[in-house]
Amino acid sequence: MKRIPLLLAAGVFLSGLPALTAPGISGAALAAELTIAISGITSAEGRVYVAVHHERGNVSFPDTEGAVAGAWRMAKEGGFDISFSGLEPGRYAVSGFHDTDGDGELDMNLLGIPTESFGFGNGASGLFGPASFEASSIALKQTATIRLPIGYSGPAGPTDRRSDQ
Amino acid sequence: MTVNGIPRRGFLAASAACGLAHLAPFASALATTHEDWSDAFDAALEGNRMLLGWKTPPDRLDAAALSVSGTWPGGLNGRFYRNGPSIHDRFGRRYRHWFDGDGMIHEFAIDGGSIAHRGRVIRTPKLDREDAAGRRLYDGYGTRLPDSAPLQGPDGMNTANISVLHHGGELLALWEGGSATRLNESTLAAEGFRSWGPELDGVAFSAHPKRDPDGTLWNFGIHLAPQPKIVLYHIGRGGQLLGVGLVEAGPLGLIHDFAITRHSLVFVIEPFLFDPARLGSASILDAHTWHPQAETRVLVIDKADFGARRWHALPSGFGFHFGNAWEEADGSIRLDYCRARDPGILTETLRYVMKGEFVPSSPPRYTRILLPPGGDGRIVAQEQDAEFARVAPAVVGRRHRYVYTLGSPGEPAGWSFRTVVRRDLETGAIETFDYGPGRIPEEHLFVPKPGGNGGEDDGWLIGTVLDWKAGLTGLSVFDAAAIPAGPLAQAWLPYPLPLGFHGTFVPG
Ligand SMILES: [Fe+2]
Repeated sequence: MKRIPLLLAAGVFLSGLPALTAPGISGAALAAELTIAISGITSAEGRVYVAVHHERGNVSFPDTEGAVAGAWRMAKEGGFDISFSGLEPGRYAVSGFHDTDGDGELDMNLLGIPTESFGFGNGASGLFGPASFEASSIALKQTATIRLPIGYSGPAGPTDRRSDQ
Repeated sequence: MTVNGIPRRGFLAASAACGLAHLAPFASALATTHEDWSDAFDAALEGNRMLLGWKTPPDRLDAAALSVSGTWPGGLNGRFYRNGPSIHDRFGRRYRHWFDGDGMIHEFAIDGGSIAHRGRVIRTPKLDREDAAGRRLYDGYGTRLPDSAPLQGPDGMNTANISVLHHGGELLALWEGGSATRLNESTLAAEGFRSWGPELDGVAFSAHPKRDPDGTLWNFGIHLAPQPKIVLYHIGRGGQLLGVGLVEAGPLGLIHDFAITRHSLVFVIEPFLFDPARLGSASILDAHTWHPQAETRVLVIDKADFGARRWHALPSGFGFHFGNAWEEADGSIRLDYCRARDPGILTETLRYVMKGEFVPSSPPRYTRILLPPGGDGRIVAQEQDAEFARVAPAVVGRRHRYVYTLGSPGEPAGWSFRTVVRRDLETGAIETFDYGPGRIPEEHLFVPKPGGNGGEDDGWLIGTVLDWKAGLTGLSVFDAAAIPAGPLAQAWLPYPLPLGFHGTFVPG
């Protein structure tokens, strides 16, 4: 089984805290808080991992090498929020996946196609690859909430549902 | 498993997830070109009942005892399965290519001359999600929706709509861009994707596996992006995976079928190639470019060593299906192929038929190709139009004498099949049965007679035919050695079925 360590580089694997303080960011204005609203989790198996990228590291998105923060929670059906406090204001993109076998890695087939559910901020998606930083991101001044649907069972995508009939 | 040496990539490349692209960001600009084709099709159907072959059936069809004319052969018992794109319309939206409709499994259960039919739409995860949402969510191979939803991988748009395989005690519906779908033999219900192993979940498993005379199964899968790759499968008699290969062969496009010989796997890479840069607002089909001046590349891979390969060039052309292939003593490969001048049948005829328009295109002709051990390939003969070529199971990958195809009685123009044909490659004799005006035959399969001599003509030919004048589909059986005499028997359904692709016969 091919396994990619998505969040090892992100540093934090704390669970159960109401808000996580992002590591690796220091300086004066670390007052902002980003909430990730996760949805679409179809089972309570394993864990849900998220990673947060700041605009400065956007070229590596969603490679966790460049993430400024990350976290996991025990999976539960439906959705839940994870908040990161103490962030520098700026633009942030998020990604995540449902690690159903609980091995801490996003499993993939031999072509590199994930075999566990994943998602990008705002429900963004890419062409033959991951969504862009821009499409997966939100501006953060003091507080902001970004939507992160995982897999197929979340909202169908960024497009509003239209009436066909 | 020969998967070592496969380049590993990071999550990102990985999130190739999106295998077959989600394209919503581009869609709004296209909104004005997305007027639906349902009305145009329905209006055209009023004036041309032949279009019945592309009309959406109910999700479920049952007929207990078909009316049989003629005498059904006593030894021909078992189940004849077929599949094809069927749900062309749903939620007021009609797909824009024949290849896009959700698959439907058809079972003709044959027992002592009594025949029953069951048809079931194949409930893929894709169709389940669309029905739950109350709308079409995903782009098809040749259709872009103005508001399509993201995919987690190619299986997210898997319609399981091309063929049926019965192997190792399992019944599978086949697609070609992703996984095979397991079907319950008792209920015909879909039971999720068939996994050949964790590394192969979601990897393409094409609709034209070849059963070697040794009982093992060979198949392939094509991934067009992010990097074009051919996956090879070798599967044991019991359905266990014996080997896997991953082949980089330069630019690829649609490769629907392949051929096997005693020692080789043969891939014909026509210069109808996928260019991801064209995907912006295009369907997967429309992101292909036809390069008529370019050569066709033929790749021959050693079954025993996937790294041992040879290449041949051919003049450009386009085809879906092979008849068969075999090796000569000197290593030359003979390859029979239903091949047209260009891909017009795919890009024009089978697209606009969804709107109710027949656009003529270059017909596939029975094309005999020689691939000498070294050097360019040669087209030895190009004969009458032919499609859905089948040979007896005993000669797959071995020298064959007879091949059974569909054909046209007059000047062929794209999709105009009316005849069933047996070609004798030794004498050149062609024997034909013409179903006549108003009838369109579908693929006819060779079924060996139980207790027969195993010969290539000691069997029956079994296949469906749409009588669009009567509005009914029938099942025909021929003596394979007496095609011109017409069907030995026909069993008629009380309803029409949409025209489909491929099937399989399971004796019993
Ligand atoms: Fe086919």
